[in-house]
Amino acid sequence: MYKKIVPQIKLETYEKEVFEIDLDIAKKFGKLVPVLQELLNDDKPLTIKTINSGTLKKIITWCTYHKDDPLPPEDDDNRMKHSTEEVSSWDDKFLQEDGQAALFDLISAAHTLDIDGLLDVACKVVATMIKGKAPEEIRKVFNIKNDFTQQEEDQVRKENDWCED
Amino acid sequence: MNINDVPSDIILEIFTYLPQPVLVATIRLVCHRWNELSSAPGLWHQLNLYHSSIFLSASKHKLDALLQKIGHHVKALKTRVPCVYTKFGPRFFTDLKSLHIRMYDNDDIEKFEDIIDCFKDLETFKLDVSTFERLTSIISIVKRLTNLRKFHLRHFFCNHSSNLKLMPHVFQVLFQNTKLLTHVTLSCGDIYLDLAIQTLSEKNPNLVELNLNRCSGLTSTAFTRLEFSKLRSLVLDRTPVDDQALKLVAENSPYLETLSISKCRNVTDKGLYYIGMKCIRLRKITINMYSSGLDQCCQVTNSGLLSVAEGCSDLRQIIGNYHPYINGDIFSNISQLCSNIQVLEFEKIKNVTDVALVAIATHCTLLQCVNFSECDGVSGSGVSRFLLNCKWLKQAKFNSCMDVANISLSSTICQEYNDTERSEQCGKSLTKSNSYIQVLHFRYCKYLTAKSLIEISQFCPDLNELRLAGWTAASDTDDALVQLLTNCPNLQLLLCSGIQDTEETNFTSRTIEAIANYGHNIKQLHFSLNYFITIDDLQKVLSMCSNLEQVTFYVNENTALYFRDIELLIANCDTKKIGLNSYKRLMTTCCQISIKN
Repeated sequence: MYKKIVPQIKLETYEKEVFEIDLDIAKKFGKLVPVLQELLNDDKPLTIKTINSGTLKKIITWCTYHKDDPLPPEDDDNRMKHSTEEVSSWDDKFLQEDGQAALFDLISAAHTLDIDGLLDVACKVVATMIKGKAPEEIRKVFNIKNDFTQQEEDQVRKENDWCED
Repeated sequence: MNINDVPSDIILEIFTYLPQPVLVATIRLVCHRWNELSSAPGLWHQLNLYHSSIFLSASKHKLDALLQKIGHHVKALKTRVPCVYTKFGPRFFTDLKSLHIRMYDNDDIEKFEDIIDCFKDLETFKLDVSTFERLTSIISIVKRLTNLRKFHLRHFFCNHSSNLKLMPHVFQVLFQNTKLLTHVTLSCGDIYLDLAIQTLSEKNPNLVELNLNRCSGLTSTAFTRLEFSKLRSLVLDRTPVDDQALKLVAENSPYLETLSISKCRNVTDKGLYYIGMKCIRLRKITINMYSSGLDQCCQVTNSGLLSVAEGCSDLRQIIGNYHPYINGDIFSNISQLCSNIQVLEFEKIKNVTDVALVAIATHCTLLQCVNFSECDGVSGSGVSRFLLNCKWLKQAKFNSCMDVANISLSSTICQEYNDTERSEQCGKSLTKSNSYIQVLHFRYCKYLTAKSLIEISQFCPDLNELRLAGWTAASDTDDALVQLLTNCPNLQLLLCSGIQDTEETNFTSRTIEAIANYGHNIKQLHFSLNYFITIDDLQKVLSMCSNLEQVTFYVNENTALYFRDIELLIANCDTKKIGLNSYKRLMTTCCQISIKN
């Protein structure tokens, strides 16, 4: 029986695992698309050492789910750099289900592979985690060390404590 | 990976989703790295000193300190005349490209002149004025901005009329000086504009957008020497232009993508015929009518709109709310002609039936936003087919469609499968089907059943705005809302008041409890007069819903909630962030609780 051959590209991860990805899914990889297309007929995979297999799996899942997303209606509001649209419940769950470390792996990989849509929702999710919190809470949530000396902190505070006006 | 290992450009990307006051007041204090990143150029290209209370109330010292750091990054600034001059001084804004000024009667025109002279290279200048009286002197200052690409002039108050006969010359001089204009918005009442527009088209051939909303001093003569070969967007709402004007526009603007002719009373089908003939790139057409006498209405009918749909095959948006001469018969044709359509708004159009909805749902699968409010012929089965078929739908409004009672999505799926064995799975498939619907309006759909709402909640997991005002005839409303709240965790706005806000609804403490338990994301709640909900319920909601910003409801002496109890409750809240507004209407008091997070 005739079987339609779907063009695939090969990516090798940090663990040296090779993934075959359909080209119509890889078309989400912004600037990389032309590079990948050139490699189409190559047997050798493209190695991306900064991405691990777990993250690449997640990226493939995300791209598959969003592969047919239509472009938003053209409107003045949508021409802004960022759409104000809410993160969908699927995306929200998908991004947060594996914890913070995985989320940042994913963001970093989305940045490397130039997947605009994924970077957009993932950054929104992190921004939501920041909003409404005091500096101390933010440090706790993201495990950030307070590297200000008491003196420095007082200084920044003095300059910036806008809310006390 | 930890956030500390994430490269700076990604952190900055995240920061772009934070409001600027958060960057200033919080982010700086987290750590050295965040402190430095929060002054990055990309985060400060735009600065609005007008809207943010933090900026408006800040002392000169603090603003100076901030502007010293980030002022030279700002490319677009919005402010008021005295602010810019007295408080900050233009010295901070060394790279300003765009300025938006709001100018009041008593603002000093000399200060305005100083500002303009400081920023002579501005590419965008937007000016909102409270009066046209000093416009002659203002415009003669603006004309010094010879590098201007975008110019925008607007009056705060809508129906302004002036008797300034000298005006056209002023605009003519302005448009002679500026030769690079691409975007122009003039909203200036009955000032005679024909000559000004002629000059604009002669001297600024690169114009892309022209908005002449409410310019009642405009006639088709303005377009006789039209040379806008690059024009993509034209708004002529509420102007007296006629078919002749549209003919001239169509013949000279082959790249037109957006046309708005709401309330152009002199436009008929003939005008639209020219558009359909020539403007094959048209993407969006707006012909709203809204509430005013028929003498204000453009005379366009189905056949005019159809000639646009036939000629402009890539039409994406048609907006024709409240139009008295357009009716639902048009949709059988429209749906087949415009398969790329994304937005359809036809509120209060006669003769829109389920047949129309099904035709649209069958052919226009890319639809994202629709409004068929007050379309009497629409029923539950039409809405069901519609919601199921248009799989990219994000917004649907069916307000005041009185026949929408039984929306049965699961049985509609079953009919389509036509497969009895699988019918049991229909309910399950409903929860699995991915609907992207975020906004649903069923206001005054009195007879909508509770079961319909449950199915909707299963089908739309992303729902974040639901308006159900006037939902008074259904029983088991509690059940439905409890399920809705569990199925739609993203809900942010829930409006379930009675008709006219004072008629009672049947929700009891059960609904309130569900809101308290599952409504973590709810920001706005709107309830009507209700005899079941108690002060304890209210307290629960206030303490449990951490994202709540506003609750509105009505009380009188017969309700279980007494006004004095609410006052007491608010007074006892230890946080200062909570406030109560109230006003009395007859025996009923409207209470509005607002919470600042």
